[in-house]
Amino acid sequence: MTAARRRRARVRVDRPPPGRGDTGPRIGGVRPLRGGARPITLGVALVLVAAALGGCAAPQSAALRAALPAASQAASVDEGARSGAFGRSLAPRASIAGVPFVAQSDYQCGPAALAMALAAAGRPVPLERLIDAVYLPARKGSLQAEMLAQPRRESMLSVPLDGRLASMLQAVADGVPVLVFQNLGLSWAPIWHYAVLIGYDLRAGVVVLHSGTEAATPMSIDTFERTWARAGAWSMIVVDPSRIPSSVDVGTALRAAVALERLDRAAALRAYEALLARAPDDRFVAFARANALLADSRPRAAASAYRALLARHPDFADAWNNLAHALADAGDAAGAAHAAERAVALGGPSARVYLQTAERMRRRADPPAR
Amino acid sequence: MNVRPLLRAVAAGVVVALVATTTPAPVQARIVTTEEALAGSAAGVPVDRSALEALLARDDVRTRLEALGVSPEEARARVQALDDVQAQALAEQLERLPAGGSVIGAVVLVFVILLVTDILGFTRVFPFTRPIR
Repeated sequence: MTAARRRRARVRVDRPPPGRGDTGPRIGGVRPLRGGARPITLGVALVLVAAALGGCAAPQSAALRAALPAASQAASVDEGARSGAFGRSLAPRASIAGVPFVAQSDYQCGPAALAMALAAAGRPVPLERLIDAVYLPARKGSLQAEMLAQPRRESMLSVPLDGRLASMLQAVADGVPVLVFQNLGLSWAPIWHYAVLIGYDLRAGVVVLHSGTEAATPMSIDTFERTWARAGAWSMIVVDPSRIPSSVDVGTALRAAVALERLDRAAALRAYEALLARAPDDRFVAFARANALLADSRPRAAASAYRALLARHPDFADAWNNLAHALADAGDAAGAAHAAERAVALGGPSARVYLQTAERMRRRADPPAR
Repeated sequence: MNVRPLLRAVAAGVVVALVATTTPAPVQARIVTTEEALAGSAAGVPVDRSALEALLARDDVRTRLEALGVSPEEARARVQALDDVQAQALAEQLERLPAGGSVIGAVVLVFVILLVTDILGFTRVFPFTRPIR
C-alpha cells in the first residue's frame, strides 16, 4: 500500500470532505469509539489498518454527491458533464418499483440475480434453468462472461456497463435494474457476490439492492462503490432488444446485439433497427442489419440495406463484398460482379476474401463459352 | 522380423498428415461477418484466423466447463451463448477468473478483520453490521 494512500486516509479521518458530514447511516453504539482521546487513536489506527488492507477511496460517489446542489439548481451541460451523467444531470434519487425478489440459496447468487434482471426486463425464467445455465459446481459460483451470455439464450440483450458509478445510477433512473458484481471481502480475501441495484438516493448516501437473501436492502453508497470497484467495477443490464436505454452508447449496444445474433437473429434484428433509428450514420450498425437480413435469406432487403449504407460510406469495402453476395443471391450477376470489383479496388485486411468473391462473381456474370 | 517397411509406412503417413494439416485452408468467396468487421476495424486481424481461433476457443471452454461439473449437453449450449471475445478470454483464463457465489463463506481467520472493515464501511460481509458513516 502506498504512503500516499495512507496519507489520504488520515486526511479523511481528520477533516471529512464537505457535503458528507451528516449523511449516511450511523449507529450510536459505534460512534463513541471516536469520541474520547484514546478511542480516537484507536479509530485512526483501525482506519489506517483497513485502508492498508483494502483500499478505502470512494471517489465516484463523493464526486456525484459533491455535484448535487449545483445540479439541482440548474441542470446546465457543464454540471451534467461534471457529474459524469452523459451531458444531462443525474436525478438525485431514483428507485424501481416492482422488481421481483429472488432469494439465493447456497452459492447461487448469480442465477438469482439473473432471474431478477430477466423478470424486470419482461422475461421471467425459472431459477432452476438459470442455475443450469450459469452455475459452475466446482467453482461454487458463476463467471461474469457466462452471466453476460445467458440472457441471450432467452432472446434478451445483455449489455456490460462502463466502470462509472454514474452509468449504473443512470440506468436505474431509466428504470433498468443493474446487475452488479461485488467483492464483499478484501482484495486478498475476496468474497465475490452478484446483486441487483434497484435504487439510490445521493442525498442520503445510500443505494438499495436485492442481494443474497435480503430484498431491497439499503447499503451506504460509499461502501457499495468500494465493494464494486474491488470486483473490477463490473456491472451489466438486461433489456428487451428493441428497448435499449439511450444512456448505453451505440458501439457497446451493437456488440451486445451481435453477440445475441449468434442465438436469435430475429431478436438481434430488432436491436439493429432500434440502434439504426438512433444512429443512422453508424456504418457498423447498418452493416450488421444488412448482414442479418442476408443471413435471414432476404437478399433483396439486404441489397438495398447495403446500398443505403454505401451511399453514406462508399469506402466500406466489406459492405461492397457482401453486397456482391446479396445481389448474386437476388439474381443480379452483373451488379454482383461490379460490387465485388469495388471491394477489390478498396482492399483492406479482408482483401483475400474480396478477390475470391470477385473471381466467383466474374465467372457467374461471364460464364465461359460451352 | 523386419520393421523397416513398417517404419517407413508410418513415417510416410506422418508426413502426409502433417502437410495436410498445416497447409492453410483455401480462402473462400464469402461474406465478411459483422464480428469480423468490428474486429478488423480495431486490430486488423486476418478474418480466417480469428474465426478459427474462436472456434477452437469454444471447444476448449466446453471441455473445461464439463471438467468443472457442467453436463456435456449444457456445456455445449453455454459456449454457444458466448461471443468470440468472451470465448477466447475464457479459454485463456477460466480457472483464474473470480466466480461470484455467496455472501456466506468467510474464513474464520479473517472474521475479525472483516468485521472491523465492515463497521468502517470498507467491506460488506455481514448483514448485521452498519457502517459508522
